[in-house]
Amino acid sequence: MTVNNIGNRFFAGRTGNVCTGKKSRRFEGNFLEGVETKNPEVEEETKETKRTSKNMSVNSCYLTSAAAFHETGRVGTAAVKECEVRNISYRESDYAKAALENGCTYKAQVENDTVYIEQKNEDGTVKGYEVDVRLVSSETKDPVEQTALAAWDKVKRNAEEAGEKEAVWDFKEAQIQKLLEDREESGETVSHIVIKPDGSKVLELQMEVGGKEVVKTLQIAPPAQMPEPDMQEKAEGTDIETE
Amino acid sequence: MTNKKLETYFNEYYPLIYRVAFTQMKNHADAEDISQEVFVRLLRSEQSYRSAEHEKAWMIRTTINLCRDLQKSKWKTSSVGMESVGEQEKTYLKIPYIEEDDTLWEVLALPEKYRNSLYLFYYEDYSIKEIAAALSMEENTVKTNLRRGRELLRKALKGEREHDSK
Repeated sequence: MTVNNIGNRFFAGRTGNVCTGKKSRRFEGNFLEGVETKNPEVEEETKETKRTSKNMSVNSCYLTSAAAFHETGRVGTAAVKECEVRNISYRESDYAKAALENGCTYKAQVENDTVYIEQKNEDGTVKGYEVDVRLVSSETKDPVEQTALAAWDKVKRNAEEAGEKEAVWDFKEAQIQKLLEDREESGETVSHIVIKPDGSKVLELQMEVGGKEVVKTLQIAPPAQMPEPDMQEKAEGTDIETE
Repeated sequence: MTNKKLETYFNEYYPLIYRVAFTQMKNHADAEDISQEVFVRLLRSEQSYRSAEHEKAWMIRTTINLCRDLQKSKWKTSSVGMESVGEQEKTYLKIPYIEEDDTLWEVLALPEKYRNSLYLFYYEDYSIKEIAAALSMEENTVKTNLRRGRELLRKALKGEREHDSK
């Protein structure tokens, strides 16, 4: 394929006006795929002078490929390595993003410090990358690296939230355990759950410690969400005004 | 079709059908009506599917055709059409798994042929081949629609930004 492309270009260059707009597009097609806009000036010139058309096309071909490398910055980036495509779905990914501005979608799966990124392009091709987030700068402009960072942050945030909930639960469990131990030490204990007017639930333990009656309480459920008092006041206020 | 099978279809496809219908009709009420009608058609048709892809393609094609019929109906043609989705209606469309993005509403404002290809490709994660099967068109046509649709979108967003800056 590459050899043919070179052959075409050489032929076009040697014969000059033999190259038509359509033919010239054939050899640079690989480069021009994904280009967002066509240059109207180039198209006009294509109709008038075939030679100009060829030269402009070849130049734009090199410019496009150079711009693509510059935009992605992936050449020589140690953090991003191309890898085998796993064909994951949105459902299976930890983070998914529709990048219409780049003409592709990104799906990410986080595995410790590396993030697998799957890039589905508009031309039907799919590429897989492994990104080492430890090597990625937070100010990176590369969309693959940005996606990897966003996915890693999201997973980390979710894990932290889950960890916080677990920690609160561990703390409560430890407190209940302590109360139960106290009860065993003190002997007779009465325990019951009290539901307060605000909807919160409290575990109340009445026990005798050293001849004294001690009541220990532990909130086991937060207050229920009540309607906003402001709203009620406002509604009442409106009634008074209308009267 | 047994109730069990219909239930399986419903659980599997209702959210997808609703979302596709919403992208066409741009309102919750019509999207719900269309989604129910698709299942009525499914019950009546007693269609046998060659594969999961064929099944999915049938669902989407039927949904889009029903939406077109409703849009062509007298009531719809005599009423004012809605190019964009209303603020209230936006709350009904929730796309799972994907990061929320305002570009979606711009996509829904595009002409149908571009909108369908872009929506299925970017928001439902369909491949070019699947979109071609669902919309009964050539793969190259899908690619062209994607490219042109994105170009239109870019212009629309650019215009919006300029309008905002003024």
